[in-house]
Amino acid sequence: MVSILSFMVVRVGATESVTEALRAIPQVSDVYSITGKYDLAVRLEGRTSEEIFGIFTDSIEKIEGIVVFESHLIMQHWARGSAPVR
Amino acid sequence: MTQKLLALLVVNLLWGLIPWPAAELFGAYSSFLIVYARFVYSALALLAATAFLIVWVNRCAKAPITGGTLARYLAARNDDFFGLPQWVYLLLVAVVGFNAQIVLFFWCLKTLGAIATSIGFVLALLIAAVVNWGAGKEDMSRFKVLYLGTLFLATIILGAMSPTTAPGGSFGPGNLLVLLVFGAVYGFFFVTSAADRMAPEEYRFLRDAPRWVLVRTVFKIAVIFLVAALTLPPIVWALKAAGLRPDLTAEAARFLREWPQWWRLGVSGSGVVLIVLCTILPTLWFYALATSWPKQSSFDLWAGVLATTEPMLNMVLGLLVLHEAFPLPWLLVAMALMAISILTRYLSETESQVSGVALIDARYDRGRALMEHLYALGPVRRVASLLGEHDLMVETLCASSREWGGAIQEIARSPGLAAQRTLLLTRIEFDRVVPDAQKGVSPRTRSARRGANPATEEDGMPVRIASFLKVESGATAGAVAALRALPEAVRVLSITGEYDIIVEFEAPTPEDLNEVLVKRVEAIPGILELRSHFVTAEWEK
Repeated sequence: MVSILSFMVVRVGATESVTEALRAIPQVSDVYSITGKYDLAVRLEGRTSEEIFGIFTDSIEKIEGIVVFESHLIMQHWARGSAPVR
Repeated sequence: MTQKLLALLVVNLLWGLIPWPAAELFGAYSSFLIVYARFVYSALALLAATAFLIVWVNRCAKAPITGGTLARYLAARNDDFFGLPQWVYLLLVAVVGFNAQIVLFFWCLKTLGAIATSIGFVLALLIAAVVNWGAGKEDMSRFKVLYLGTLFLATIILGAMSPTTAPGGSFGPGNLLVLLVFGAVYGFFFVTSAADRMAPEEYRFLRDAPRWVLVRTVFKIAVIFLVAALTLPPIVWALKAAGLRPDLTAEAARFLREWPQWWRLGVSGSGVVLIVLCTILPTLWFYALATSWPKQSSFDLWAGVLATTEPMLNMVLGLLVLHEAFPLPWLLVAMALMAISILTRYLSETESQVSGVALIDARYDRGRALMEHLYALGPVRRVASLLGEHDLMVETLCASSREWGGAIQEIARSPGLAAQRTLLLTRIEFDRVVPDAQKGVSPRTRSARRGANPATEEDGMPVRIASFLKVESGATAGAVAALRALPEAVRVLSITGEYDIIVEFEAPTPEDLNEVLVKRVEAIPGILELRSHFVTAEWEK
């Protein structure tokens, strides 16, 4: 399983529609509305690199209102009081 | 690698044997009928091979290859051939290149002999060498041995074997023109037959069926043979109607008489040798080699170089087996063209090359379109889609620094590009990227092949990252050596510019990659900065 964390800057007034569009993507597991440099943080998951490529090129690229996004591969995830989550 | 080169040599020698069975058949059949039967039997065999491959490939495919897949392949845009649909490309290559060159080849074999026909071959190789100038480089020591060996053999043929000199009646302007046309159409076929890199859409097929490259290659050749077979009778009919030369008209008329009995040729001894041993077997073998050729070596280059053995064998057959009477002027033309061809190839190989890497930031909504645009550019060899600081990594290969400068400007003008950083690739230190035909093979199998730990990911698709490294001055060589030693490293490139090294790692899971980066790469002395990007897709020509 491949997990991605994406940070997005959204056009003023488009946050709600972008959030709804992101939530409609089956592979998106979490959407956070955040303060600071970016407006939204999104976590999405796919089984393969190719599936992730498809999510971005077939779905996210087509959402109106996103100004900038920057995405990162989650390589390791630790939860409080536990071993690394695999 | 040596085994593959030997196999390629054997393939060319099998093709080079064609004049032998053909000479037996010329007495019984029209040369056009020999060509027609060869086309039909080969098309049927290759279509059957395609069907067999599809069944075999579909056993482990996520989405099966179907007739619809093949239809989409035929409808895809061919950016290497004027952006025309693939089926138009195949039609033109089949009729203008393949059909024309085979018809002329057999015509020349019958009327001029194997030795004279070799002139057309050499001319085609010369055309290919000029058109593909500077397209690739190989180990020069091997080339030197090959070139010198070829020249040595040619000298033996010219001097020691003392060819029979005929009165020279066949060395007329008409025959020379036929031979030059044969060389030109064969050159066209030689240059264009490989001009069909995978369309972006086909990477989806590759994702679903990892052996797609092998299927599409055999299917492509089957289509070329089939189109050639279907178009040959009307072409011969037109030749007869045109009445260009009495001998050509008579041969065309003979074909039209013999046509209903074309299948008989395939059940004769010489016919079987010609069709099975000298056509179907080397064709399948050649393209199987093409799809499994190591990435660090250029198949097209080696295929071009070893193709010189075919006219050489034709000459030997003509002299020793067929005992052809051969006017000396023909031989002098052949030797002159052979020498020029070899020299051109040699000069092409010694031409300088400039490789570069461009790191590109795309507008958020243009990532895929930009990737497709860049992939279609001539100097671009590989495009990888990244997640991280940059969106795309583009690798270019140019024949000169001036051409490279033009390529950078062309990339910079691409629609949807937000920013570009250019790095000069000074050396490919290490490239373990698997050939297309082996892409998607389970990491367990692939790791076992290269001696790494077996992978465990259930869906069998590894994860790849590209890391850009800055290292301390003087520490590059040590860092490169340490990176090469990591079993997860699949590519290591030395570059100049903002970064010093690009390294690509592949592992079964992101957690494995984390282990590699945190525990092993960070421990390498001299690394100042490490920026890693997730590679979501890669398209390579």
